Amino acid sequence: MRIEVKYYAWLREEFGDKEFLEVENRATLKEVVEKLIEKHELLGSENFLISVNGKITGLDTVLKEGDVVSIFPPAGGG
Amino acid sequence: MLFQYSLQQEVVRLIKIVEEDFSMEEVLLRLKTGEAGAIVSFLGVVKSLREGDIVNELIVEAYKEVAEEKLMEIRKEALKKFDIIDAVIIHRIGRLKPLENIVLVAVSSRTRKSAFEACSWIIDEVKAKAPIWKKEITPKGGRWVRGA
Repeated sequence: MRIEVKYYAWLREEFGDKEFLEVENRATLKEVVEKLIEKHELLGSENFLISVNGKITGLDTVLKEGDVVSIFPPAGGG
Repeated sequence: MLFQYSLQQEVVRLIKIVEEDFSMEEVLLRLKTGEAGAIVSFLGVVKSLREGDIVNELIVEAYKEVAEEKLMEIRKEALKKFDIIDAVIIHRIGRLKPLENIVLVAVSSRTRKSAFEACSWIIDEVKAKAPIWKKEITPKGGRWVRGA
């Protein structure tokens, strides 16, 4: 199945606004994150937040076709 | 049903992430109610100089859906935690020039102490928890503002 991955702030500058990822049916968010870290090393080097369809959720969440996974840095502070 | 709808509308007006500028006067006026004896506000503005560099522009980006939800949570928690009457949080996004408004937190309460404490707590929480990021454009290039 295909899911959409969106990036924000400096991650967007690194990887673009969004990309599509082919994953196995009923893949968990953890599996998707592992796949993304394999592809983009930077994602494994810092703590980022993850949401599915606009809601921050746990890594055991089971995804479905067309879900939107957003990956974003913690608040910028400053 | 109508009552619930009105309440929801009320919360939406008190929490805003917007591109356009806001009127501080209008917000303060809105907080002036019979019981309020103190209104404390924090206004964050774009610096024209930071760490020795001229700032030409500040780009403010938000993950709007999550940030709005976070601001609503912060406001709700402040209303529980402090003896205050009401709180407003408005954050701008987009390309802002030096001296433009970025963020406004305003709190009304019966006494000044709780208003000061709540206002300070709210802006700290907004900066620490809302997914809103800032990129400064300087003559040397762009740089993301990281850390509180």
